Amino acid sequence: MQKDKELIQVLGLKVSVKGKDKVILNEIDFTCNQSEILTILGKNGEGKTTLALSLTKLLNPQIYSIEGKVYFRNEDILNLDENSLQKIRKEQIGYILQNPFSAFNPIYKIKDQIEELNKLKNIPFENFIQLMNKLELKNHNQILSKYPFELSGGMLQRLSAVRVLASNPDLIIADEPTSALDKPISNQLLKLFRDYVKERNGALIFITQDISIAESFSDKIAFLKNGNLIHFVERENLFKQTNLIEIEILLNSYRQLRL
Amino acid sequence: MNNQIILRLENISFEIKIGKSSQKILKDINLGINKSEIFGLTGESGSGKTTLGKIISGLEKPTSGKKYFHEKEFDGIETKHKIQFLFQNYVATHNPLQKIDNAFNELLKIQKETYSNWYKSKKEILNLVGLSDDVLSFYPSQLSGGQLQRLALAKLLFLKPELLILDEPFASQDVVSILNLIRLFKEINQKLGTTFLIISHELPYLLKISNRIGFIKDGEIIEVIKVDMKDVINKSLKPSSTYAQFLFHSFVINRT
Repeated sequence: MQKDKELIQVLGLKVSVKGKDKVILNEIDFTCNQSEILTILGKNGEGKTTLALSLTKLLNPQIYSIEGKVYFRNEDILNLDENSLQKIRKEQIGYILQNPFSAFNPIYKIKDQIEELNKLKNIPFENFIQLMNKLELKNHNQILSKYPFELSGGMLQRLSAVRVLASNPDLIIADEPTSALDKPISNQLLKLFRDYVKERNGALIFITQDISIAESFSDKIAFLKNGNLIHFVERENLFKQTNLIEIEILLNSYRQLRL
Repeated sequence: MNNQIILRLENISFEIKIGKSSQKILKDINLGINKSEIFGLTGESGSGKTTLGKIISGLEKPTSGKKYFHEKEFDGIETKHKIQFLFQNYVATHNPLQKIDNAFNELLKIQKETYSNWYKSKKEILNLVGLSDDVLSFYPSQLSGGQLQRLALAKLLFLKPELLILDEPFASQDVVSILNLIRLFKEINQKLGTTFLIISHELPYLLKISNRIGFIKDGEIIEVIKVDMKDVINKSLKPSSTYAQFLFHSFVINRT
C-alpha cells in the first residue's frame, strides 16, 4: 500500500467576489494524503461549502475569482480547461454536495440516473444494491422508480453517497453528508467511508460542523474560521490546549455536550 | 419539583389516509408530563415525535384518544395560550414586513390579560432570552438565525404559557449556541416554572437538560427513562429497552 502519498495539495487558495472587496477564503493551505480522512470543521457561514466547491473550480466564474494552486496527483488542476476538469470530476474526484435535493436531476427517475452512471463507468448494478442495503434503503425497486422530489432529504442524501461510493473515485469531497441522517444511519455511512478509504486506498475530505464526527472518525482535523484555516491537528491531539480562544471555547462547549 | 401532572395523554392514535390505504403515525400513546419538568422526546425521522407535539398543542387532531390538561379533558382551543409550540422553522413565524415592536403589540391584543407595565414586561422578556430591547425597532431580516429563534421564544413566553413545546430547537446550530440554549431553557424553567416538552433527535443534548426522556419508535413510546446526571457523566445510563439502548450507544463516541 502506498501510504502517505500526497493526493491533493492546496497552496495559497484564495476565493473572492469579483468587483467587490469581499474575500471568502484566504491563503488556504492543506494536504490530504492517500488513505487519509481530513475533516474540515467550521460553523455556519465560515466558508466550508465554498472551499469544497473551489477545489475543482465548481464556483460560478462570473461571480468568483479563484487564485492559488490545487495540485491533484501533482498536476495543478485549477489551470486545466473545463473539459479536463469535467473528466477529473467524472473519474477521479467524487462530490457529495450539501443540498441533497440538488444532487439529482429532477426530471429523471433515480434509476435512470444511476444507469447512466453504470454505462459511463461500467459499475455493476449489484454494487449499488449492496450499498443501498448497508444504508437501510431496502425497498430497492420502489426507491429507484421514484423521482427525486418524491423522496425525503435523508433518502436523497444516502443515495447521493451511494452513487459516489459505487463509482469508486480516488478522492471524495463530502460536504455535510450526514446532516439529514439519524445517528444510527450516519454511523453506518461513516463506516462505509472508512472502508472506502482503507480498501480502495482512497482519500476523503469531510466537511462538517459536527465535532463528534471529527473526533470519532478522522485522521486530521482543520478548523475553518472566517475564511481562514486557523488550526490543524491530528485526531489524537484534538483536545490538546491551543492558544486560540475560539477553538478553546468551541471544544469546551463540545466536551460539555457530548456523551 | 412536585409531581402534579400537567398533561396526560390517554390512548392517543393518529392515522393518515394515503389514497385508499391508511397509515398509523401514532399508536395508543399513553403519557403523563409533570408540572415544571423538562421532558425530552426522542426518536428517529418518521417516528412520530413532531406529530405528537402538534397533537398536544392542538395543531393536529388525534384520530382517537383523550388529552387532559390539569386533569381536565381538552381539545386544543381552550388551552390556546397555555400550551405553546415553537416550530422547527422559527424563521417563518416572523412577519418580514412588520417591525418587531408591532408584532409584540399584536400579542398584547391577543393576550387579554393586561400587563401592569407593558414596556417593562417587553424589556424583561427580551432580556430573559438574551436579546436587547433595541431589537424592537428592527425588522426580522436584520437579525441572525439564532436571534430569530430567541425572538420567537420571547413571543411565546409573552403569552405566559404553562407548557412549552419545542420542535428540534438545536437543529443546525453550533455547540456554543446549543450550550447557551440549554442554559436558557433551564433558566426559564426555574424562573417561570414553565414545563418543557423538547423534541429532538439529539439524545446527548436532551440528556443534559431533561428530567425524563421518552423514546418513540414507529409511533409507539418504547420507554420513558428518568435522567440521572451521574449516569450521564459515567456513560452508564442503562435503558431497559433494546431500542433505547441502541439509540444511546449510537451516540457514544467510538474511535474507529
